[in-house]
Amino acid sequence: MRLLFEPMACIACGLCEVACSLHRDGVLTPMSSSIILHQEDKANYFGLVLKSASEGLVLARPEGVTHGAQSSDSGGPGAKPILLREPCDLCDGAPRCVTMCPTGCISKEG
Amino acid sequence: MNLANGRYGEIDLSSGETQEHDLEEGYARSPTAFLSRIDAAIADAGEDAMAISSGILTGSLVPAAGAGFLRLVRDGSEAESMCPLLGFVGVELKLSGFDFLVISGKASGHGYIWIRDGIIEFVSSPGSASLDSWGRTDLIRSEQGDGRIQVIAAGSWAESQPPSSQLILNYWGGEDKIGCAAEFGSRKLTAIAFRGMGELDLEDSEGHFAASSELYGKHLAGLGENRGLASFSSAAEHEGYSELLHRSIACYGCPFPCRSFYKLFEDASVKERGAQEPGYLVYDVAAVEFLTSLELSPRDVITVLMRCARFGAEPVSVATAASAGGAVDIAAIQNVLESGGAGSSANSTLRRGFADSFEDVSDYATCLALGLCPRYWAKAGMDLEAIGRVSEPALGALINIVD
Repeated sequence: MRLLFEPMACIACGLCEVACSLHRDGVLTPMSSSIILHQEDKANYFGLVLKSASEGLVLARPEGVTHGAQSSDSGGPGAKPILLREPCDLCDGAPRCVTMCPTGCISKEG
Repeated sequence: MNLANGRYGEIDLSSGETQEHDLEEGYARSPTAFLSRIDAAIADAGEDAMAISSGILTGSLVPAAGAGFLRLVRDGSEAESMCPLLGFVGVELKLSGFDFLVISGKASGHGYIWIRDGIIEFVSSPGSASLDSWGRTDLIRSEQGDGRIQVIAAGSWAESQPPSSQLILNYWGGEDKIGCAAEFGSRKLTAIAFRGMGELDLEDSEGHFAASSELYGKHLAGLGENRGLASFSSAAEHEGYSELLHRSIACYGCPFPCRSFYKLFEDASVKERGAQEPGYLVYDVAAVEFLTSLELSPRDVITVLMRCARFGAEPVSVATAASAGGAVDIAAIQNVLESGGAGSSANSTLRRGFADSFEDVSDYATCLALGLCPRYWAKAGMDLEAIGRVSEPALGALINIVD
């Protein structure tokens, strides 16, 4: 199983981040999630970054989805960089982010 | 405490001193009790104090639970004393370590309040006095080195403290219809900025997740297709808006956004990073409706909203002043904005915001105290039973909503 992204369907609600932390630590926080909402306010440029176990970083940007990135410019010095986080474990087969995503931006395959 | 930090912060701008206060277990057992506790903290801090707060359920998985609010001590209804704080502002405030912050006194020089990791400080920023609201937000994010810092900024209009000044949240305006920015100006407070990196405990995370995902599904089935601002404003259905529409974007936890970004200086179909400031995020429904009634084109309406945001001025009041001499155009509005706002009055009849989401203003106050977006819940249908059912596993207790 893997996660699929339709970046232009994203509305930047942030539910995927906290749904992930809920599975991982049983708390609500964007700081421990395996998925990060990347947002540049003034340009209205936003998308998602996933640290996957099998495909490296998955960048779901408006331009398209790329796999295997080695770095991401998401999150400033105050945030916990995604490379220091645990990779996605697909919530043991029932990804919380897929369940919570209100637009179908995130789905699963397999 | 579940969904809470169990403490609030206090800062006296006159001295720069800060304090932390523990909150009693169960202080937020109901929206009414929660607001009363904030009011008591304001009263303790002095006659001129005000507070910014997250809501009881802010940051939870209850739909559209991203709201916070600014609370002023004023005579009149809750509509005159509560200003919503939307986007990710309410959530980041709660995750910064405080349930609410009480602000009193007046600073001797311009600066901003900076909150993160349970730390509150007043940062002197004399150079920000001459900046507009966008410049102030840019400066803070640059100084503190983080592009996701949430900033509630006043603009230059706040310096003369007119009731028609408006707070701007991360570059955009639409929440402050009660002149909160004048309160900032009177204190030489250019902005309040925070970054939330904490976490919120829950009593039963599995139960909360299951109940909330079920409610999201029910809401989405009933709300139909989302068209961003056009789902909330008939004026925004004009094709002139469609041609400029880039993407709609939600506040935290909202599945049905009212915020649409329109590109004025770049082809709206451009997906890649392009211009740094290509347009403006519109969600001020009342302003769009009013400016449209003055026969401004969609492009001009968006231009006016963007310029008003930079000055920190309330658009309906500005347009009302500009139309006193007859027809309104961009030049007339620019003249009003450049006047600095001194002596200008607020259009309290036509300037309406989130307070008008419900016929009964008590529903508005309940929503904000709970940390829920009034506009969303008015659209989805206020359902206190559902809110109680979804929040109970998170809180570990059934909230008393009709105290």
